[in-house]
Amino acid sequence: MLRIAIIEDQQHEASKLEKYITRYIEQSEKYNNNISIELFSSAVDFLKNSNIGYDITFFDIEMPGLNGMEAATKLREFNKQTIIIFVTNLTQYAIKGYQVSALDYIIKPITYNDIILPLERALLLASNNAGLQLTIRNADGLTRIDSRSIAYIDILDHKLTFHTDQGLISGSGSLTKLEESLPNHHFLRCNNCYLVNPKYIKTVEKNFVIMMDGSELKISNPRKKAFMMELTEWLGSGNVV
Amino acid sequence: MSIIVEFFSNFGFIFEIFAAIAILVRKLDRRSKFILRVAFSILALFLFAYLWDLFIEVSVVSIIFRHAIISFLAVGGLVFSFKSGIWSSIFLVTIAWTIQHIAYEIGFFFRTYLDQIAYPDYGIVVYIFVAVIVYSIAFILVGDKLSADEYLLLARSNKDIIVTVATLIIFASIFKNVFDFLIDRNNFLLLLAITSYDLISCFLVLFILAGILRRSRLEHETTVLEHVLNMQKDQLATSKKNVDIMNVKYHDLKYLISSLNDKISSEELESLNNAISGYATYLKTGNEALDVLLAEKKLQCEQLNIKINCIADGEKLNYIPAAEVYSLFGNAIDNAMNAVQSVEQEERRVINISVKKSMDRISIVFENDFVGDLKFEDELPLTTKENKEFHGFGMKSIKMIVSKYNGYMSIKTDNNRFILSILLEQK
Repeated sequence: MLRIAIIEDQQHEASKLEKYITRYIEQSEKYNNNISIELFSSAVDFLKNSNIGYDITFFDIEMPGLNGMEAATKLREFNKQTIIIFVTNLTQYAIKGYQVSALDYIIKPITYNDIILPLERALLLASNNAGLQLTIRNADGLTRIDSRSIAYIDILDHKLTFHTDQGLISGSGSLTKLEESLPNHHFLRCNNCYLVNPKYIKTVEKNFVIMMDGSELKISNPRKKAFMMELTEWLGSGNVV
Repeated sequence: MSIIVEFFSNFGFIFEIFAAIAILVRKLDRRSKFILRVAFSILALFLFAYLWDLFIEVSVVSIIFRHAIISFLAVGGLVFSFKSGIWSSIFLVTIAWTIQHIAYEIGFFFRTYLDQIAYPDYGIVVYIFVAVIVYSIAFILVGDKLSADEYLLLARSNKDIIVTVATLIIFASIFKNVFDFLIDRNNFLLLLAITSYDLISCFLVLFILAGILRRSRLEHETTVLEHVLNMQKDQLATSKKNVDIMNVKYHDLKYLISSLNDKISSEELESLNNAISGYATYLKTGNEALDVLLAEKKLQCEQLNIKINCIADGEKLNYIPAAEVYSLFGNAIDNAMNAVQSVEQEERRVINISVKKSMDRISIVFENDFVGDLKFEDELPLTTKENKEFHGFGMKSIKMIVSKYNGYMSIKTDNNRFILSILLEQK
């Protein structure tokens, strides 16, 4: 189930956008009926509800009170996941979308044709971002975990350690097999013993990946170029960090 | 049978050098009446060899001169039959001579060996067999690799090396001939030593030539890339002037229209504003070169029904010289425009550009639809345009700038979506 939010102060604009999105979903075979759309007439209203993790958020930029760009900035402080698309009268406003890592923008007055590509890109990214449920077997029994909450996985003597939002979880198996089971979830290999979720990378310095939690993972020399190219490609697919 | 064998042992060298040259000249431009010219050249060679053998007694000196003159005649034949300069021809004959010599050496060695162990009849068969193998390998390795332009370029800029190499190979083969004439062929070890020494000289010559070729290709590419960059630098200056003028005109018009405020209806006012809105091209990204380029490309794209959606933190690019920003984005957008033009549905003719800071680096992304198949070479897509000499350089130029800033680039082509991602180090 994908959740979409539209934040727009003008009622007719909001319902027009909703209508177009619904039409697109109905015409595509991929997402039929698995999508919900919610409308908010002010940014403040939306931020009150923002504990709900929307997959895609459409922000009108020109709104009284808190404008779309300001609201998006506030949202980004605690939500890096949602995909932001701006709706605006002026391209000059939208061009600043990098501040909140916006994926795209639509210029008003909007037509059905205008929304096709931005929506298609957003839906593709959102479905790529969907986590995969992993079952980890260890001495304590079975643990189920969302792949999105894994920062990185290391292996030592055939023992896997999952570094996750909820702490460390140990498991067993092979890193390569694990890597193969996560094809579309963009874990990158920086050397023989680490599988890294780029969402948790803070920066890359020389031959080390610095993670958000401060751990430094060595990038092996032969893997360096491929790793950097994969990271470049991952960032190029619109992912937000 | 013996007449044939005798004919080949007398004139074999001519056949071999002819075969070696034939391998190398497939891409050269031929002169008119090509077949006649080639036939004439070959005839001249045979006539020379025939007359020489008739009047000159066989000796070390005469063998040397016979070979040397045949090579000069071969150079002459090349110039006569192809639109090839004297230096390119000397260069070609040198390679041909080296190939011939390698085949001859190996063949001769086995032949002598077979003579010794008393299988003389197989000698000629083995010799031909070796020749076929060596020439085939040469054909695969060199035959298709060189274009006519490259021969010209190579020959022109490396005259001194060509003279050295040609001298080296001529001397090597002359000495070998002298040795073959003088030494006791039953001294198998001596023969082996001399043959190996000779072969090493040949391979050395080929390595030197391959090295020259690589260097000259690289030089050529760098020259073209620098030339393109310079052209774009000039273009940036012109574009900036044009865009500035247009911007001033746009604001004049806008002011004029707003002064009509109370004189015309609001619908008329809106339609006037809409009419000029297309000229409101100046987007401020924070990088002047990018602004100018976007203004220019947006106008071009409008005529082609292409949309550019750009979310860009241009300021992050300010440490890169303006000409390089202009060139990198210009080349990428040109490629994208070229690709989306063939996209049928108008709503899909969009070029998405993004520039932002990510992970303490600068991420630059170009994304667009394309139709058809793309072929890749060295991680870069090959040009789909007709004129390959010049057009493939867009991507190469991007790659050159990216590597100048210790960056990485990756190209993804999924479901007719082309995504060029670049990650640059931040200064």
